[in-house]
Amino acid sequence: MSDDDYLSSTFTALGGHVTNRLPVFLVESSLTSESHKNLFLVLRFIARLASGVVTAFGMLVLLGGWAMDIERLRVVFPGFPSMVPNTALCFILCGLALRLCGDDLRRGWAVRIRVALAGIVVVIGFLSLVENVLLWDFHIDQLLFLDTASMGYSPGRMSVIAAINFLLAGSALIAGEGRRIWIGQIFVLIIFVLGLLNAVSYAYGVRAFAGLATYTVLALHTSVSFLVFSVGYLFVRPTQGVLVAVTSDSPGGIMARRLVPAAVLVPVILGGAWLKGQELGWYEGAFAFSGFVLSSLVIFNGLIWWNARLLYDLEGSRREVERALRESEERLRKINEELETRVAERTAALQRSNQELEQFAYVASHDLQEPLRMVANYTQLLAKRYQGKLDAKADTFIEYAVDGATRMQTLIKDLLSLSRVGSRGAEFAPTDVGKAVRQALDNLQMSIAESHARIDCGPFPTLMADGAQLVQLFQNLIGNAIKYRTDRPPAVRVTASLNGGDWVFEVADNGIGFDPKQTDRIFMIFQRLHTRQEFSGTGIGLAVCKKIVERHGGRIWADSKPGVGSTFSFTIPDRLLTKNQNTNDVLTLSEV
Amino acid sequence: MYLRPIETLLVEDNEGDVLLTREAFSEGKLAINLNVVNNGEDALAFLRRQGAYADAPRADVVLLDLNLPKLSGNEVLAAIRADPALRVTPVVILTSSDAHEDILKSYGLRANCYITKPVGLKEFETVVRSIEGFWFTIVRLPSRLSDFHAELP
Repeated sequence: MSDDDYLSSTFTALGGHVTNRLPVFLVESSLTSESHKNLFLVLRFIARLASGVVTAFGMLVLLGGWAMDIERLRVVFPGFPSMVPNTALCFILCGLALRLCGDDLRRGWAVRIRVALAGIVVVIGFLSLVENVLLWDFHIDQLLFLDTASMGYSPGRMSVIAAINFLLAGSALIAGEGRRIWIGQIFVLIIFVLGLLNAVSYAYGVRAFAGLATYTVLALHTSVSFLVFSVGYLFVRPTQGVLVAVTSDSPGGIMARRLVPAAVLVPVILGGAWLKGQELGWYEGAFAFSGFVLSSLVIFNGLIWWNARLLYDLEGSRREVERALRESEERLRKINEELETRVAERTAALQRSNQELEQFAYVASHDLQEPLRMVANYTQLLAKRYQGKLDAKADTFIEYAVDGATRMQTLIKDLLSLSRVGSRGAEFAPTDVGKAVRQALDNLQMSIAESHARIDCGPFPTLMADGAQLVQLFQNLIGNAIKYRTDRPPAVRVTASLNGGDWVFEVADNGIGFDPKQTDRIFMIFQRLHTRQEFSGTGIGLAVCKKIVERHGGRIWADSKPGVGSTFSFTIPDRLLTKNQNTNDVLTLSEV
Repeated sequence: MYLRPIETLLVEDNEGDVLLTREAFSEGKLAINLNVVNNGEDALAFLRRQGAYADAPRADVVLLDLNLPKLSGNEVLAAIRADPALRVTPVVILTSSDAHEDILKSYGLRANCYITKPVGLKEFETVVRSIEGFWFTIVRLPSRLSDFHAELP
């Protein structure tokens, strides 16, 4: 299998995994979250509806019942308690305030209006409560309308329970925000329970409230309005406070949503049914009660079993998904491992072949030298012994042979040094660049003397490098600067400067220069800008320079003006500086 | 100046180098008897006068290449230094290798000097002239001591 085949098959395996496994899981969860979003929309819609209903009830009773004096709107059924004007007013205020509760209405004015409306409700509720408990009269009960038809001892006054409910409702509307939302929700749950008590009593056919029940008396539509209001209040912020557990996407939320309506409706309906049977004379009170208990027991246990079953199935599929996920993770891990092993193997193979190649280059050039030495030596011997003894042509032939052998020797020597840059390089150690330049100049002594070159150097830093290679690098660059000279004696300037995290070295000369268009070519192996007749050379020197600089993590480039001179520059990262922060040590410059 | 020609053993497998060395020595003024063997085993047999080399002369100086068939130059050198009869014989390493490890190893085995065969005829001739001028002229060779004693009485 080729590398490409292997990679593509690996990625197919990865892709297969993604399309076969994960999406099922993802689609499921995204579906649930989509339906969940719908749930929130429905709940918020119910909340708005509730605020509208509560406001409408209040309006109906206040305007229709009291202002227009329609008895039916005040009491619903003849003989029932009526909704007093203050209660109706409070419902209008509560309904409006509830409308302003939404998460989308957090602007200053909405909050201010809501708090103002709720504040009035609180005040009315509080005063009514005080009136009821302390039997005071603030003269607020008949402020709007005269209550002439009331059965109570204090006409137009709302009941204790209504007063408490409005106090709670107003407080909930003011407080219900952010982290205190649960306070409001608990207040509203109390309202709901008290309203339900009254509503159920009506549903079971209670006509007159006596004894303790007197304190709970509410008009029929008052209790219904409280129920509607509390439901609306709870649903207006379905993601906050105590509602979180009920509306959440978790199994707990699902179970709560299934059980809560049942927990409210089942006892109410059962109670009514058993009561009806008693009224019809089928059995007596105690039996009705035990029947109620038993039927509740059966139905709730059934409900609980049903829910447990659903949760069990849900858990099962969840575990199935988890298992599949674990399996695919395991598969992914294995593929990964395999891939890593392959990469490691291939890297090792690559390193091996690289090493072999360098070894080959080294051995080849080394072993090539041996026979070549023979050719060179014997042609030279021929030339020496028989020069002039053969004809002129023979002398020329010998000359060419000697020249060819000599050039090939230089070529092999240069190739050897190029292959040595990678294969025979030493570890980087703190290196005095000045010393390296001095060494290079020593090696170039002859050509410097011959050409009467003037070389200005330094100062130079100490940095992490392969000293022997630095010597070779400077020797090649300075050697070139001297070699490619004009009629003037060469003047070479070698400098170092710190630029960011890199040391920039420059070797500038006053030589023949080159066409800047050729800049890229000159660093390539075997590329030469001059014929052998103009300048000797193999075209390897600058390739060696490039390889050395790149091995040190730097880069090399050249600028030139033909006839004026060239500047060869290279960088070497300042590893010492990053290694130990002691810049004083590093910046100690050495003069050549 | 010695009375009899200097017996030199050249251990070299490359016939080209043998001829070149022979030519270079022949241009010199000294009477040098250049004995040649082509591998390490023959070198030791020559020095110990064994087998075909029973009548071989005693070598004054050994010129030893490193890259040899059968026994490498360094192995020959080690055998010479381990042999009480041969250990004083000067050994000049004359090889094409300029590897640092070869140089260090040879001196470690107590080679008397290490010379890398130069590239180029002129340079090679210079080396041969230097060997002549130093080892065969200036240096006092252990194998020649008895000659002096023999002359004295």
